[in-house]
Amino acid sequence: MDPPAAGFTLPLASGAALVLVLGGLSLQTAALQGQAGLVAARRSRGLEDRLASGASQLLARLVLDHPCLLTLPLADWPSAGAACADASQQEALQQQTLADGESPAATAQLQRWEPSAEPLGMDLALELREEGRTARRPVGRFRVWLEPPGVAQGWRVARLQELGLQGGRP
Amino acid sequence: MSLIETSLAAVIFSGAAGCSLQLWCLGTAWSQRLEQQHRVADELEAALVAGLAAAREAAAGSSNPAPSDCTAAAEQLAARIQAAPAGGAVQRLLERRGDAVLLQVRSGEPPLERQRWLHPAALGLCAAPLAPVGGGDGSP
Repeated sequence: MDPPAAGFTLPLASGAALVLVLGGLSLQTAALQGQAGLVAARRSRGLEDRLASGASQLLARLVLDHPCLLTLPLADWPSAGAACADASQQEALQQQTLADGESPAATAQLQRWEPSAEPLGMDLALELREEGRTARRPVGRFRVWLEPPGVAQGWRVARLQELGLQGGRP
Repeated sequence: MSLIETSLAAVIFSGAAGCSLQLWCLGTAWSQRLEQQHRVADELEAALVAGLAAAREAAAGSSNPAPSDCTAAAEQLAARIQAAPAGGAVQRLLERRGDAVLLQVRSGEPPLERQRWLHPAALGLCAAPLAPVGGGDGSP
């Protein structure tokens, strides 16, 4: 058997080495991408939780303290809503400080509160404003169904549905 | 084929093989950790959803008219969620602060956490009486 031609071993070894290293690197890259996706998903779930907590807090305030605002679109609050909430109270409702004890501190800015197409339904949108974060603020969308006042009680929330999160990706 | 060329090829190949082996080991370990984190995150999600479902069930079975005492409603809400089964490896914590209930679900390893504030008034478990009540911010 003839010996291999001179100069054949080194390119073969280099090629095989390259394939091995590239294979290892591709696995690393896939793992890193998976980690980045997981971190993004975790942040997204955290934002959803904060916004849902904010929506719950806002609804509780409206039901208990300012029920006349419940059926008024946000645009009508300054005029028709002045009867049950003065300007400073309305501002506090529209820029709620989230009392969730999480870091960074955040406020939930009320972006939308208006009747939906369904009877006694209201569309709610809250923007989360975290301290030190100005770009791509996440917005949580919700739908609220109300129950009109009865004999012995005022307005009541029949159902609160989460419609999803927009924005907020790092 | 000279001895130098063969030696050099052996050094390059063995170095690359060692390096690749380390990368594969590291990548495999990361992948396993990722898989575990995915699984735990799904368990937390399931536990949170179960807690929220218990809260909605409590709301669906609430009395009509709704009581005006939201503190008592928060206590009943916490008891209702507590009675619902939690996920196996997930720890569920309930804390009451005034008119609100903090629902937390935690995992041990990796340490992940989800939390939601639940207000009985936002679930329809309590409502203001017809005469408007001024003051009070209803915050937790």
